[in-house]
Amino acid sequence: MAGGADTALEPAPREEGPRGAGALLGGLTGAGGRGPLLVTVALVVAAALALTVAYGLHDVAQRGVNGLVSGSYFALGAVGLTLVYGTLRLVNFAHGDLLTFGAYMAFLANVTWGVPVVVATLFAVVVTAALGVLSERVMWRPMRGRGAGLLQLMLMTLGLAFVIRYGIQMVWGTVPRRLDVDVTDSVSFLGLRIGSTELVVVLVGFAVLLAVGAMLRGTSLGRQMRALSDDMALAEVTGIDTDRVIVATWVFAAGLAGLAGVLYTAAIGTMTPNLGFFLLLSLFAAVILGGIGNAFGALAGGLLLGLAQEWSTLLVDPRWKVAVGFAILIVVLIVRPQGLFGRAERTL
Amino acid sequence: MYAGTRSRRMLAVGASAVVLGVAGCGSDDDGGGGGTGAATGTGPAAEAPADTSFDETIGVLLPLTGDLSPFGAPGRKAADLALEQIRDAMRAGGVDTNVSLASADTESSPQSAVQAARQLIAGGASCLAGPWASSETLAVAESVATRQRTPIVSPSSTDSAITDLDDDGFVWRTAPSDNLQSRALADTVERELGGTDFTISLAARNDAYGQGFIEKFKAAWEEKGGRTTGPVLYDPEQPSYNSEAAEIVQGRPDAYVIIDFFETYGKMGASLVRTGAFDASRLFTADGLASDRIPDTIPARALIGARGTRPGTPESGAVVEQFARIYRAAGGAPRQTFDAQNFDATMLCYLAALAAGSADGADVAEQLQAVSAPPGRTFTFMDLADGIRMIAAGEEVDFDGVTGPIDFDDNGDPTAATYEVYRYGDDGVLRVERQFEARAEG
Repeated sequence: MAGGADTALEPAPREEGPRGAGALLGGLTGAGGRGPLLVTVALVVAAALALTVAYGLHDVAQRGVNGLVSGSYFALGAVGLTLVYGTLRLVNFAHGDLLTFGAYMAFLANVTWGVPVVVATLFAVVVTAALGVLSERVMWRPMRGRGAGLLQLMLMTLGLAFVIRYGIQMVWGTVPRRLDVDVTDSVSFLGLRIGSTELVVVLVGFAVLLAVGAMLRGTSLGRQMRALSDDMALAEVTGIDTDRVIVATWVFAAGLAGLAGVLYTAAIGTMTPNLGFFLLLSLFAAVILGGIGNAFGALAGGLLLGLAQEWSTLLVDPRWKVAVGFAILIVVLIVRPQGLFGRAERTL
Repeated sequence: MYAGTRSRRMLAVGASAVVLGVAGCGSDDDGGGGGTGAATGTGPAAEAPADTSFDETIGVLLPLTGDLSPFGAPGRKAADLALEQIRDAMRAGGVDTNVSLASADTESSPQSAVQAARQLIAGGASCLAGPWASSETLAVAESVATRQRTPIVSPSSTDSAITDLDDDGFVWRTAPSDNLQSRALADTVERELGGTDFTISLAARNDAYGQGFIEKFKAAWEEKGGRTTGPVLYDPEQPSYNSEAAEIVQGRPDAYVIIDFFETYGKMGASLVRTGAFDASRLFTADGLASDRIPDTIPARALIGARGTRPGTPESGAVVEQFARIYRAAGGAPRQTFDAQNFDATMLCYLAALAAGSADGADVAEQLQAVSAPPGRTFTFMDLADGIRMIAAGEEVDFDGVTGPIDFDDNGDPTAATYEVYRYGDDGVLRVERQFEARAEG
C-alpha cells in the first residue's frame, strides 16, 4: 500500500506519457504516432487515384461521398462501443441495440407525440443515456464488484441485447417505422449528390467524434477516463472518483449510441427492431480497424470501411461489398494486429 | 377441432402409412423411382369404378403464428369450407368416403413446419394442404413429403426453386411459380411499353425470391428481343444503397424492373429518388411490393405511378363469386391472399384420393395431376357432386379451382394462373387495372 502510494500521488506523467492511458483512449499522438495515419491516408489517396484513372473522376467521387456517408454511420455508432471498452474493458454486444432503442425513442416522441424531430432527437439521447446508466447500476457495477470474468460480462451484454431488441418488438412490433423527415431530398455540389439527411449525419458525425476526441485529451474528465482505462485500481487510489467517471462514460457512450440510432434512421428512412443488431458487426469492425479503445480510430476505421465498401462497387457486384469491406479489415489486421491507431502491446 | 371423432380409427391408417413410407424409402434407394403406384397396383385414371368407402384425413399446415400469421386464420377457414363442400357433395353424389381435417401450426418457420408435418402424418394424414412459406415448403418437401411418401399441396409458395425439386411427385402447389409470374411480368412490360425495343435496368434483393425472379425475367425479356442492364443484386440488410441506386439509373434506361419487399425498398427507394434520375412511373415490379396503399415507410415518390403484377383470383365468374359468397356467409376471418388457393389445395387432396380409391399417400400423389388437368370433363366446386360421381365411376375429369384451371404440370406447378396488373395512383392507392391468365409454355 505504501509502495503504491508514491506513484499514485503522481498522476501527472500519465497525462502525456506515450505508454499511458492516452494511447488507449486518446488521440493520434499516442503510441500509434503519425506514421499509421500517413500510411493510411497515402493508401486511400493511391486507391482513389487508381480508380479515377480507370472509372473517371465523377464516379469515384460520387461513390467516395457514398462511402463517407456509410462511414459516418459506422463511426458514429462505433465511438460509444470503443469508449465503453476502453474505460471498462466491457465488450458490449448490446451496443447495437442501444442504437435501436434511441431510434424508437425518437419515433415515440416524433411520430407518436408529434414533437419536432430535433427535440425528439434530444429526448432520445437523454433516455438512451439514462438506459446506459441504469444498466451500469443494475448490472455492470454489481458484476464488477463480484469480480466477474470477461466471458460472463460478454454473455450478459448479449443477453441484454436480446432483452432490448425483443422488448422493442413487443411494444412496436416488427413492421418498419419511420421518422417524420424527408429522406428523398438531396443537395448537389460540383455535380455530386448527397441526401440532405445524409449530409446532416456526416457533419454531426464528424463534429461529435472530434469533440469526443478533444474531450478525452483536453478535459479533466477525459484525463480521468483515460486514467481508468489504464488501470482502474490505480486510478481509484489516486483519488479519482471512479464511480462518477464510469457513470459519465455510460452517459457519453449510450447517449452517443442513441444519437447514432436516430441519425441513422433519419438518413436511411426506416427502422426495425433489428436495425442495431445488423449494424453491430460493422461497428465492431470500425472499432477494431481503428484500434480498440481509440475514439479517433473509430472515426478512421468507420470511414475506411465505408469507402472500401462503396468504392468496391465499381469493381465488383454490389452484393459483395460487405465481403470486400471485411476482407480489407482482415488485411489491415494482418499487417497491424493492433489496428491502425492501437497500441502494440495489448492485454487482450 | 379437426381431429374430430375419427381420430382413433385414423391411428390404424396412420400406422400403415408410416410402414409404407419406410418401405418406400428402402426400395427407392436401388433405383426405380417411378414406381410409386406400382406397389399398390392403382394405375392413373382407372377405368373401373373406384372404391369410395375409405377413410381420409387431410392435414392442413397453417402459419397460425409468426411472420405469416395474417394468412393463418383465413387459410384455416378456406380449408374448413372445402371440407364442408366435399361432405355436402358426397352426400348428393352418393359417395361414402370418410373425410376429416387435422391442422397444425407451422409457426412460419421451416423447422416447426417439418415438426408439424410429421405430427400430422403420424396422426393419420395422407395428403397435406400447405405449408405456406417457400422456405417451409422446401424443408417439408425434403425431410417429410418425399421420405414419408405423402403429397403436400402448398397454396402460397411461389419460389421457382420448388419447380426443380427432385421430389418424386410428392410436392405440388396451387400457387403459381415465380417462373410463371416473371414471364407474365415480361408480357405486361411489353404491353405497357408498346413493344420490346427498350432497355430495362434490372435490380433485385439478393435472396431466393429476388434473384430467382429477376434472372427469369431477364431471360424472358431478352427472348422477346429486349435489352437489359444489370441485374444489380443488393444485400437486404445494408444501411445505404446509394452506389447501387447510381448503378440502376446509369445510362438512362427506358424502364426499371425491381423485385423487392417493402422493408428493403424503403431504403432502396429513398436512394433511387435521391439520384435525381429515377422516375417511378417507369418502374415495374411484382407481388413483393403490392399493398392496398403505399406504406408510409416508403418514400411515395419511389412508387407512385409504378406498375406491377401479382397473383390473383379471377375477379369475376360464377365460381369466384360463389366462393366469395360462402366465405362471407361463414363469418369469421376476412378474405386474404391465397385463401382460395388453400381451398383448392384441400379440395384436390380429396379428389385425388377419390380417384385413387385409397387414402394412401403415394396413391393420392399419383392422381393429383390426373384430376386437375385435361383430358376429362371439366367441373368446379359448384358442380362438385357431379365431379365426385364421375370420379367414382372411373371417368376422367379435370377439376378447375377457384383460382383458375390449375392443370398441374409434371413438376407439380399449375400451368395456368390469373395475374392482376396493378398501378399505384398519385394518392398512393393501388388499383388493379386489368387481369389476365398466364399459361406456362409447352
